[in-house]
Amino acid sequence: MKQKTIFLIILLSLWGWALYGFDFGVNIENNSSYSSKEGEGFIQENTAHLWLNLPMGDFWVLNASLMGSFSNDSDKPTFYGDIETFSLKGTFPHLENGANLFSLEIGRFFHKEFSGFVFAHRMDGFRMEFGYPSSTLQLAFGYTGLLNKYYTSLVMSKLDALDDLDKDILFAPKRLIGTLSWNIPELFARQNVNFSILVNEDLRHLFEDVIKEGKEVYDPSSGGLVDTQYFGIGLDGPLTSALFYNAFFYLGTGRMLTFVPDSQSNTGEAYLYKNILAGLGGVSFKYYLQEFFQSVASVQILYATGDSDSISYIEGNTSGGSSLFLPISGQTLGTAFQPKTSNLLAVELGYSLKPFSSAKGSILESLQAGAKLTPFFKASKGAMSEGEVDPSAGAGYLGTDIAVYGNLRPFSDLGLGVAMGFFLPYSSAFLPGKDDPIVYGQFVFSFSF
Amino acid sequence: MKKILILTILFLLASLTFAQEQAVLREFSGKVEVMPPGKNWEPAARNLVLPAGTVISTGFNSFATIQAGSATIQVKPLTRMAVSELVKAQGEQKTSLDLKVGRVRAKVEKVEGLEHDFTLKSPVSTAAVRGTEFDFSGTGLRVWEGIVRYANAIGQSRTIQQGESSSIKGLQAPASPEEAAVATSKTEISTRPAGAAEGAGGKASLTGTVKVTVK
Amino acid sequence: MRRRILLLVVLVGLSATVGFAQSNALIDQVLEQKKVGYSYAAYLVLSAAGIIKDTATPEQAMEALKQQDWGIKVPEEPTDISLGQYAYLIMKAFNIPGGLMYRLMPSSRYAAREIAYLGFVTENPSPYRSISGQEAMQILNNVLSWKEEQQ
Repeated sequence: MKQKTIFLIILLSLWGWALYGFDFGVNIENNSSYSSKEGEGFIQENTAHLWLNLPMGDFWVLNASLMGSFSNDSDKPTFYGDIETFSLKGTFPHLENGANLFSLEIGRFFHKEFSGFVFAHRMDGFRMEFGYPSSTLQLAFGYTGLLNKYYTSLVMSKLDALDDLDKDILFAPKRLIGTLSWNIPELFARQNVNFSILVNEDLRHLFEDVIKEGKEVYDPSSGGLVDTQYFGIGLDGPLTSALFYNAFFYLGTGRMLTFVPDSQSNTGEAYLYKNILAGLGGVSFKYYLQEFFQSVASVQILYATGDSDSISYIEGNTSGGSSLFLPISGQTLGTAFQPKTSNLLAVELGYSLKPFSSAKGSILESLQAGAKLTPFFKASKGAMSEGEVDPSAGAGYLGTDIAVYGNLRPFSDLGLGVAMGFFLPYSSAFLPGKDDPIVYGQFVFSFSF
Repeated sequence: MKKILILTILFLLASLTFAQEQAVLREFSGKVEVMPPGKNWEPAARNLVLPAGTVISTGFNSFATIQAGSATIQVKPLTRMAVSELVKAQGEQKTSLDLKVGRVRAKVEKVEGLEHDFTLKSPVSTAAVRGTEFDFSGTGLRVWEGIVRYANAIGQSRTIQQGESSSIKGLQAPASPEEAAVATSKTEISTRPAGAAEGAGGKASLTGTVKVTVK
Repeated sequence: MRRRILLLVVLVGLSATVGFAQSNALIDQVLEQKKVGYSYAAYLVLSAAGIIKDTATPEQAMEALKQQDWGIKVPEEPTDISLGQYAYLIMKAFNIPGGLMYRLMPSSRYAAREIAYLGFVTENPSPYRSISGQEAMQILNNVLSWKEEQQ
């Protein structure tokens, strides 16, 4: 009887909330790709998202989304799923003198810092935003250990990498993420300024054994903690009414476990935590020629420091501190070749247009066709995220990624995308036998109802 | 007699320094009505004077052109706009219009020796200009000439220049000109509704007006 | 004879004035409604699309709606209109083709999706919620603006 009463109350509450306008739907996405890179081949991933948006009163809204995937990727189970988002967000405006806006979001949500190259990922936690007439302040904390690892890209340590390969492990690496950001639009001459501090704390040691500092025997099957902090500044804005730029810099600090010579060790060597001091910077320019088929010409330059004595991307430091920049989880450049933003210099030249943009009402009106040319360089001797690159190769040319793509939205509820990429490597920068060109093709399909 | 003369001179002097500026309905087509303060709706007439407090309403397929000092306002169909304030002092003119619903195109000419403080308010945004031409619909702005300061209900504002456009959704800050350019030049493949991804909804997008003036 | 002609002219002039005042008084009523009524919404959409004259009444708009072959079950009792229902009226009245699901299964749900995608509605796009008179007018304005750009 009690259960029925509770059920009835919930049902009536939902009915009441429905008056405010709840909404729900299903979105199906197919991602089919082929890569000639060793170990990849043809991969097809089909994902269904079931989403719900439920306003609760004047100020709160509940957002929930479930996702389930079916994949032929041998590194993943055939079927897997996760709660994509589940958050309660409240927005509280104050419109009197000293007008401001406060918002609070609690639950699982997608969060990213202003550049998108250091952290862009889901997490479980809370996010507060304080909006003022002249600026916006945001504070967020989140935990990643409850996310399904097959939907994440948070591999930073050796143990993270081992868990990633272990099919018995379902959840993502246990990391505590904290961010504080301050956005000041049009601070001077229409330029927007962004400040950001990120903290990434590895919590693995609270749940399992990790290699402790001082261990004197090298253990290739285990690893330690990787904690990082990032301090960023960004500037962006218009140079003319059609030309925009974006520039940013992140100073990366932290600590990483390293097996190094140690005079206090009985064996002469031991595991010690060494500091990380690295940097990531980027600048991009985009020119919008709307009169000429809505075309956009862009150039983007990205530079991330490397560490000349690192022998691998993950916990590969071999002496002293590490200057290898480690992003937590962010976007990458390239199509066939997609190295992480670490020990890298990339220059991306792009152009796109909408050739049928003047054909109003036509199915082809939304067709966007484009091309990208991205030469890659190593920033310094040492390891990169791509294992095929020779760590002993010095700074220099790696190869060029060439891509063409087309995006079409024939209907509001149907989206299609196709991309072809080629990577032409510079043999001297790669390990012997790992310098084959890469051919890549991708087809994406998105449908909602 | 002397007293009358002195009073008359004082009155004339006061009129010279502080005068109520006039808005005039220059042209119209279709069904256009005006509601002067304290009166009912009446049909529009060419060169009709519109005192402060007048509401003008255009019907379907109807247009009207209003002249307020150095400003020309084209009122588009299905629009309701109130003339809130019209004041002219020495070298300064202040015009404030309240767009309740609909769209207008405003052109404010620069006049030597006259500083025209021109503001258009809607339930969710404000556009303030001097020497410019733009389209304003309350939630969207496109600038054809000059500079407009575009603000949301909590006073977060952006400068929108010639050739640029912006929009405001609820209590979000005005979109940057680049966001507006990206929206037209990029085709988004993902068909997930924006409301689902970003959590739009509820009645938190309350109305409010904030007035900002560009000098 | 002259007096009769004069009287006729005066009467015609008066009726035109009344017609003018009627449409604006209706707009006043629409703008005041926190939840716009179905008949008022029908009047707005059908007038804007030129299907009825703007001097018509909401009741006449409902009658005209019954004549359209749009597959709408026109309510007999006064009721509020939802965003989805309003969107459906707009899609039909302005011949907006819609997305794939709307073409396969025309309904208020997919009509609301389409007008949200086209940018006519900037608030919560839920097809089940009510809309104010102000919002209904603004949505219609956005439709008219979009129509102008298409031509």
